[in-house]
Amino acid sequence: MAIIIRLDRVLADRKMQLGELAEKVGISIVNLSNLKTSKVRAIRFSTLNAICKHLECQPGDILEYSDD
Amino acid sequence: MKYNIDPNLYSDINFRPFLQVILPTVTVISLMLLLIAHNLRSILKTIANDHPFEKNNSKRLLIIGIVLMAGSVILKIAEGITAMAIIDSLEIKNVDVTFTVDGAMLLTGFLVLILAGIFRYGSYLQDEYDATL
Repeated sequence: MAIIIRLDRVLADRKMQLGELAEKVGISIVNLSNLKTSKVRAIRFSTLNAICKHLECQPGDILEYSDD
Repeated sequence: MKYNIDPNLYSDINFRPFLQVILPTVTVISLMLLLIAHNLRSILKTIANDHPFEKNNSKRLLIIGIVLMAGSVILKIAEGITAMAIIDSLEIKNVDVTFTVDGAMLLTGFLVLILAGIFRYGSYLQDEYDATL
């Protein structure tokens, strides 16, 4: 896929566990893990908004475009 | 109401050809009904489990629709063959058998096929929704 999810990198920078973020954002750890491993097909703006809010980052920090 | 049929009137009639026609007809109709009932049961199960747009439901509806459309012709042919067998067995004179397609069943089958198409798109949308976080 051309869009790469950099959630693991941002989480490492913030020294935050996936479970902790899942609890704060209000989605299951399984779904967040699927997002981290690029297994989801789409992400809602509301979910992205909540993730950015709790990680204090920009959407561009989480999503990265790569020209395959 | 009482019927006083003379038992000697039909005592020498051979019912074997009549039964030979009836049995395959009943078997075919029973198989078609079983196929519809089996698929309908599977669809109702998915509805009970709150997954009406499961991928297989459109295939199940497609099968039901095809069976209904085929049944609209097969049932009428079976009815005609059975009627002819009865006429031959009882040696009834001056009786014609006409073959017609069951219009209501054909239309129902066509509508179920349309529903199968709608369910196929529904399952695609459900899949997209499930893969969205």
